[in-house]
Amino acid sequence: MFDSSRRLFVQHCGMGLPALAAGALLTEHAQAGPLEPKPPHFAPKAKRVIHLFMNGGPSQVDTFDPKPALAKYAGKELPFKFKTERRTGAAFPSPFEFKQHGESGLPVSEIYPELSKHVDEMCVVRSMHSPLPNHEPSLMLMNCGDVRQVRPSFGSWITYGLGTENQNLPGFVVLCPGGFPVQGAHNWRSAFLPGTFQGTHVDTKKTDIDELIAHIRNPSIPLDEQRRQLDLLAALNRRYMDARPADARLESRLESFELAYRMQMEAADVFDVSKEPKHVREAYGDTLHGRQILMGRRLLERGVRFVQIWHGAGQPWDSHNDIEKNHRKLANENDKPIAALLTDLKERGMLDDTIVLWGGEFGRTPTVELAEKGANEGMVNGRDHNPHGFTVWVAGGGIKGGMAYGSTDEFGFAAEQDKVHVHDLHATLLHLLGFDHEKFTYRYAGRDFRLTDVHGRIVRDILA
Amino acid sequence: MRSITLMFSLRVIGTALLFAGLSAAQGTEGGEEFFEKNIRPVLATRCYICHAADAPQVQGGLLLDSKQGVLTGGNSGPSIKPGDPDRSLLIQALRYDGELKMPPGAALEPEVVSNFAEWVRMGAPDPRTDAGPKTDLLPAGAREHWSFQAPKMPALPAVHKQGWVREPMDRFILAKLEEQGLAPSQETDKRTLIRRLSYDLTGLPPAWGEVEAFVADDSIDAYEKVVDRLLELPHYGERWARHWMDVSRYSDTYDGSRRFAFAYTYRDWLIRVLNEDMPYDEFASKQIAADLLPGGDKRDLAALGFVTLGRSVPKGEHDMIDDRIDAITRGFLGLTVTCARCHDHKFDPILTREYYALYGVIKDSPEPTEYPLVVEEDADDPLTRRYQQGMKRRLDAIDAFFTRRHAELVTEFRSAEWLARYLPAADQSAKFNNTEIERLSSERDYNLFVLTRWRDYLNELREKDDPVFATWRAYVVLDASEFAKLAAQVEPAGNQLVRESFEASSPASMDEVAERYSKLLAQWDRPEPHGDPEKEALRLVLRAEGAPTNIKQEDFIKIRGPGGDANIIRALTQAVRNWQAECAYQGLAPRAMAIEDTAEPEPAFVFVRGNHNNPGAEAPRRFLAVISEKPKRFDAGSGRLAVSQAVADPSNPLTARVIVNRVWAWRFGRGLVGTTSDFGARGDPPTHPELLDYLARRFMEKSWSLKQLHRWMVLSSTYRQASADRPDAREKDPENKLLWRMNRQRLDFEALRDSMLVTTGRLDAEVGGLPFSLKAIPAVPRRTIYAYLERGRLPGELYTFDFAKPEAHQSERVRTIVPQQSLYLMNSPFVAEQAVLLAGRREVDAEREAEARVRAMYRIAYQRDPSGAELELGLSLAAAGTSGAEMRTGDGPWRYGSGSLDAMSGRVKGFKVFRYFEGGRWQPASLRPQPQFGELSLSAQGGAPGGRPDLMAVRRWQAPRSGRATVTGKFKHSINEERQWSDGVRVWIVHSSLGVAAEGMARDEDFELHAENLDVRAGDTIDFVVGPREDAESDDFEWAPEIRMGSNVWTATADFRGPDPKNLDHWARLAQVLLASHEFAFVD
Repeated sequence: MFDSSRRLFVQHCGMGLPALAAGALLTEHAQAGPLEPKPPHFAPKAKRVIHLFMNGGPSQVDTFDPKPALAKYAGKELPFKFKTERRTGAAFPSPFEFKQHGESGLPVSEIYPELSKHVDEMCVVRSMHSPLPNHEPSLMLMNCGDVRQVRPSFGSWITYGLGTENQNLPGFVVLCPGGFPVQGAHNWRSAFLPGTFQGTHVDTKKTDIDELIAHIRNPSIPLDEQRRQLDLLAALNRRYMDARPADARLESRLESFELAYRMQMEAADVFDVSKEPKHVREAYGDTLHGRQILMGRRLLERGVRFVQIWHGAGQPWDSHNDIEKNHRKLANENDKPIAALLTDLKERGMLDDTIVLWGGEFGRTPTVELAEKGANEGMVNGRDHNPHGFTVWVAGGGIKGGMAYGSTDEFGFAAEQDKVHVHDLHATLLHLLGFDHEKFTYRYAGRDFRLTDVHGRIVRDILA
Repeated sequence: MRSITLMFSLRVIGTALLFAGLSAAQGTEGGEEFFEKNIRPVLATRCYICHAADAPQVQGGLLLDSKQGVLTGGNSGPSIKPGDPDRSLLIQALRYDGELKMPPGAALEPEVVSNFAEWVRMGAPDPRTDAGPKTDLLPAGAREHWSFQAPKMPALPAVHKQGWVREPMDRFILAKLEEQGLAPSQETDKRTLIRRLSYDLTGLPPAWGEVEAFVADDSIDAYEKVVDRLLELPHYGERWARHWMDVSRYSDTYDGSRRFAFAYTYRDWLIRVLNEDMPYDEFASKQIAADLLPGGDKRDLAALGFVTLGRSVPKGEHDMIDDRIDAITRGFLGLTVTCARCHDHKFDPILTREYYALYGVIKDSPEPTEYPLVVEEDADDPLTRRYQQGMKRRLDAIDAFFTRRHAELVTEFRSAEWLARYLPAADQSAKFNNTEIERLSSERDYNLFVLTRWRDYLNELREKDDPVFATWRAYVVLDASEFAKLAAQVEPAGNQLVRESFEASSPASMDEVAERYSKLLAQWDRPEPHGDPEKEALRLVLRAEGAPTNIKQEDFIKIRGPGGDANIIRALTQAVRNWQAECAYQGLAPRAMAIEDTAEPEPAFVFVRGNHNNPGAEAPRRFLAVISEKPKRFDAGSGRLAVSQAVADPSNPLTARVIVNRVWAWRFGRGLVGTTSDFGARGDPPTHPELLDYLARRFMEKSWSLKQLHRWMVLSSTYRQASADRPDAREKDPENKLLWRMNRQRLDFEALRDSMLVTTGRLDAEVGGLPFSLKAIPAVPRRTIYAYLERGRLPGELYTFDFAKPEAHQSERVRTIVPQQSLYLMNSPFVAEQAVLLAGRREVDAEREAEARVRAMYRIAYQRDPSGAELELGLSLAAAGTSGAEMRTGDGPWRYGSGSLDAMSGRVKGFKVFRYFEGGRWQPASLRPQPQFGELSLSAQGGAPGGRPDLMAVRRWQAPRSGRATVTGKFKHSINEERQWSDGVRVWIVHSSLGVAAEGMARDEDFELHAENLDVRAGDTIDFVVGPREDAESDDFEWAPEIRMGSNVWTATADFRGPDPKNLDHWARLAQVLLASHEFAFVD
């Protein structure tokens, strides 16, 4: 009977994307396994994504986009300037030294000594740009492809389109230590997509498993006794089903208790980094960031489709002041873990089909931020928000390594050559995942919606 | 100017931006010839394809096939300014040098373009005397789509199986079935029927006794009696209000934790009027314009929550309006009007200018600063008085800030430094269109409003003989590449002071000209007039009425600085809304989340491609042409009253159909039109068009009564069918679109949770009131409709169970089955608590025999007796004698509660332990603040006292042994813009036998609070007490003390924890299985 109704399900709604794309089919009748793996439009280069989100906005001219010309203008007005969130003043050369690395000779700032050993894996996109200088809309654009309207997040789209490989874990997991970033759960919302595609937020500062995922463990009934409960439940449910044949939902729901039961073990296991061998733990480092990035790898390894790792609650990279001290500290926190992640993925043969994305919601000004009453009185050593030009890097998953793509002007203020809008980045990553971004749609409110709205250009030059 | 409405309302950026009105110059005969020879042929061959009335699709709303069309223009405004080709959009577009490039693809030949420019320069003579654009805005055939035709009362179809028909609607269903050679399913059994009916009408299961009584009732109207009884229960309104709240995107906050003060009054209004069976036309129109409709029951003002309780983010006014238009149009009309925000609707006959017609209506319907009362208020109530005082302080703060900053900014704009920046930019942008000047101001950090004023000012001067700028005009025409050379030959003219400034040396660049002007203007600027006319003329450039830098205070918002100012305004505005919410949640008399018409509505304009910085043509307010063929321009107020009337008009082809179809979908699991909020071309066609029309017509005839509509549906044979599968029928109609059986439904989260509360016998039947928190432990036994909902931050289980996300209007719920739902049923404290309570009910617990207990639980959970096999299964788990699991001990030394400090004795009295744990805090009620308790609560790091002196927060430590204790810890209280009105708190450390050991007072400060070497005996308590001073505003504090006794340390933070998990004995575990089962979750 189990098989016959499963067939029924297949007959009624078909499988794969064409059926899913018609939103109307996402009804109870068709919704037996919304997270079952599904093929994309064409053979993908990448199967999963890990997004290392440097929330707050890392400075491009202090990390991956060196601008020696700033030194010439040190303390002087630049010949041109763009509108920023707050007022900025003279040119502010990077306090950090850049050196070339790897065979490609890509320059990386001294604050990323370990990561710089991996430049030959990385494609550094220096010509990113976006329209607005505020965190909130920029976060929404980077995560959901729209500055204000309620649209699903990138991770939700991917999970909706591809399902996930491990039914015992959520398909889209968001790791953030100490609480929420700015805009909170909006960053991983599913909007009009079903709630099951929403990111599951895990506070990696907590260590107790039942604080990590809601209801993941029963605090008072031991597992073996819960097993007895579930056996009885299954017996009752089967009796109920026997009298009501051909209802796929009953099968799914019966199965979902078994999945949930296994999920309890699997989730406890995946977040327990102490199970990793010592050399691996040491490579990532026994720090908050070391642990959470290692958790990220464990999630990917177990088939989770999309992992997003935030640097911290709020907006840690938002260095309006003291950029030298702050950026050095922030980079130091994840330099070793990210380097370890790249090594680790490579050794496991996973880098080839895993997209690793590093970046923030925008970059920072090459000019120094001026002190303002009520904001940063007395400090003139930081940088303001800069959406006109910023850097992200991508590695793995069909990306050409060891290259820099695009460029900003001679001071690193605005993207100039081969500009890449956030929509273009999304279109490109979707392409790597096997989707035609113009055809990957969901019908809602009378119209077909896309992650890239009506925009998006695939940046073919960075594809391997 | 009071501008609390800022955040919620808006003003279109300067109408000054708009193209000036024009008077069409009369063409000469020669001009007409010119037109016929050079212009008309080009228009006909190159333009009409997209810009003529009979074009397949008119682009940009622009018609060039008539004189009037050319002058009126399209979405971007008039296409030409006769006499001024440089400022005519059409010419700019043809020249291919601006944002807009026409025709698309490649520019016309240069001589053709110059002909057009010449024609405009001639005054655009145009002999075409045709009737002008047609009166109907929409192309022919636009209203042919089925849903735009008025519903017609169809003939009742003939059917073979006459005996099956109970209600007329059955004929429509049966006729289709018979057409397909299908028979309906047989009537379901009575137990199933009453359970189905109870859930459908009230969202709650029937009691076992009710089921038994119905089964035993053989009278012919047994079923009708149950229907009537259920329709009269207050629970009916609760169930159906919740359905409507999906449509109206209800939530208690507009963004995250930012609360609406009185959202609950809208929810309660829905429940009340649904229970009273308010006619739907009235129900609809009141939700759009209760404030403007005659009648005057002020309770109905709460209906306006439909408009206001949507998404709103700071700086997101346009999106907020969009959301409101969306809720109204999709909600009541099933039309996706907001697709027309950036371009004409691609599939339905809805024009962009129609979207902006409605935009204007909503724009001029802002929320008032003070929300109106819906009941009489007791003016002497202390809370009311506090509320009013608090409002005054906050509004005064806004006024003071506006006055001060306005003065500062205007002074800045008159300074030489600022003038030197703005004058060259204004010159540079002389010929810019709106988009271009907006980009310039954005990229180069100019204030758009001020820059535009300068630009317009200088443009006007070009055409006037103004002595101050006579010299300017002489320089501005010079070729920049040879400026210095040419400038030397210029003879400064006009104003004497200007002349002098340029006569000494000639300027090297236009920038230098601007700089000299700036210096000069600033030099002679002063508030009072100069006696010398030359100086006075300079002074007036900056100070005259209408001068670019003479900016009225009411325009402050347009000139405010982007960083600090915006943040402060947001904080001050927020402080008002926060205060209203704080008082509302403490029990302030209920008010309505109302809107009101502005005193003087201003015209609305199309935002070209949705960009609000690029206003185009005016969009006169009127209703959608697809619904009313010749929509009249709204001329009263915002036009909202007219919109409400148009929605409720019986001739509106959509309103009745849409609601009838919604009710059908909520009833049968799928609408006759599957896309319940999209009746447009891309929506699903109806499965039973005649039935839909029949119901819509009859519904309107029977005074739009929703209860009547429910009766027709639930009394029908269609509704009473069994839900069992029939393979033969499934073969023909796998999706059951024809309703050959009833659809089995899975309970939504509200019904599931409410049912569990019913099984425990604890469901609180009180209707309405302030919300409770779903996250509180122990659970609040109120119906789920009263749960507190944060937009974008719903409690996790609501996402898990596919609850309607209030981010936007949601017409249908998606229904998934995922393991997280099972985890909730297996492991959540809520379900464990209900299982314990069910097993502990007297009806169960009093039974001595195990079998009788199982039976009692079955009756409560499933309203039936178990079969023999089920008894055995149940007993097998119960008999297994599961051990009580290990529980964490509940006796740490800390307690969290409230009490007061007795001044005489220096002791804490009336200590009362907090009942609820929510969001990491112990507190006396599930949600803060609460009417009796204010913000009273304690967390690991701190807490807040209550609103009265006898409601102090008391963190109590009880000594587990005797010894000498030392207490340390930092106390912290802070304020900011939003909480600047706090008067701080009082703090004590109180020993149960020794009395007050330390005390302090804090406002925006932090300090160490010590008490050393306190002798304690086992059982003594040390209390950490915080109370309000004069008032309890913003009194929350941080204080996590530490106690040392010898080598032992107790830390408030590390020791802090929530309630212990429930211990489930084997009966409770069985109860949990029953609650998690298919039978509990599904309704046949």
